[in-house]
Amino acid sequence: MGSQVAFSGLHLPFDEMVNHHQDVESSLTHYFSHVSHQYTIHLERYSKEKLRFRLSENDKSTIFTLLAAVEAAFRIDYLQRTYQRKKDKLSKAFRALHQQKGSRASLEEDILSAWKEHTSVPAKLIGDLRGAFKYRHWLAHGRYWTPKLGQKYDYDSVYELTETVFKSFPFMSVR
Amino acid sequence: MTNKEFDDFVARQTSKVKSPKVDWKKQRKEWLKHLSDFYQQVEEFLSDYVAKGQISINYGVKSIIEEGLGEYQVNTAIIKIGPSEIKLEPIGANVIGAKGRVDMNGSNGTVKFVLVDQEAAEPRTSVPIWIRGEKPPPKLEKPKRIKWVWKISTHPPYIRYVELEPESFFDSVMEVANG
Repeated sequence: MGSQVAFSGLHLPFDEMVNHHQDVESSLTHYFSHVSHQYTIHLERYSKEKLRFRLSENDKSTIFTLLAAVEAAFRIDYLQRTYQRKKDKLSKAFRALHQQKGSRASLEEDILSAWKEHTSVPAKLIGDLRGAFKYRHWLAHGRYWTPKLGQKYDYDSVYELTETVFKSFPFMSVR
Repeated sequence: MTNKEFDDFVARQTSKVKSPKVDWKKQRKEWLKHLSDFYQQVEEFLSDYVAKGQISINYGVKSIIEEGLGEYQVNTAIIKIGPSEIKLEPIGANVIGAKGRVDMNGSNGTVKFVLVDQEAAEPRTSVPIWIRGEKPPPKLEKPKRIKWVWKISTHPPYIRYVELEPESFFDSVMEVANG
């Protein structure tokens, strides 16, 4: 086994990401409102459509951040179970995987598959996560193709998915 | 034999039981019936205004492609009130946290209608997950028969389900339409 990954400790808590999203949303709504100083100066540049576009972009940025945090939680858990040499089936599966692929194991193909095989996690939740990561991949690579996601992902649904992940998975975290 | 060995035996046996095959055709039929019920509720809420000619409802069609359900067509609806147009747009049956979703879009925003357990007041964001071979949580809920109803879902971070009634529906229309 190679050297261990040095954890940064810089991953954001769920509440912080959500609060940031709310603050930006409130700020944009205020900025595009009649009481905004900018609104009276650049009246012709402001419209409901523009506000909705800005809010939608804020949603997408937060989706990206939320799903990155979900990935970090799964990867930290994968590495911690490997390093701590626990005896449960999931940890054993992760150690075998780590011997093959180290920290480059695929989240969707390897880590989520191990959770599906060795725990009681509902298949629907794994499917939702795989779809959400497809959506994140689409965002990360510039959205230049029409994605086949199998369902709609937006801020509301990804928020619910992320909250479910953090409340339900018995993750091992960085100590 | 120890309890641990028995736990492992039970886990091995239960893991061998394949998940029942999903009858997607039946699921799609049920989803379309729920959608039809939704539009019927909307028509009932607005019937007095439609009868007086103050509001019109015009239906359109859109295609949805979903995993398992495949490609199928659903009705959309435009509610016209004077110069305001509000669109009801089904999103799908395969959505996170609900059995189906319809969005109401107006110039001022979006309200979400979700098909959820009649008894639910908020989404269920915690599911029991345990490693096979280990003891499951002591208080596992038994599967129950769910009655699916349409409710209005508030936005994060305080997601709550509001009963779909004439008052809550009218509030939603005004919320998305008002400038």
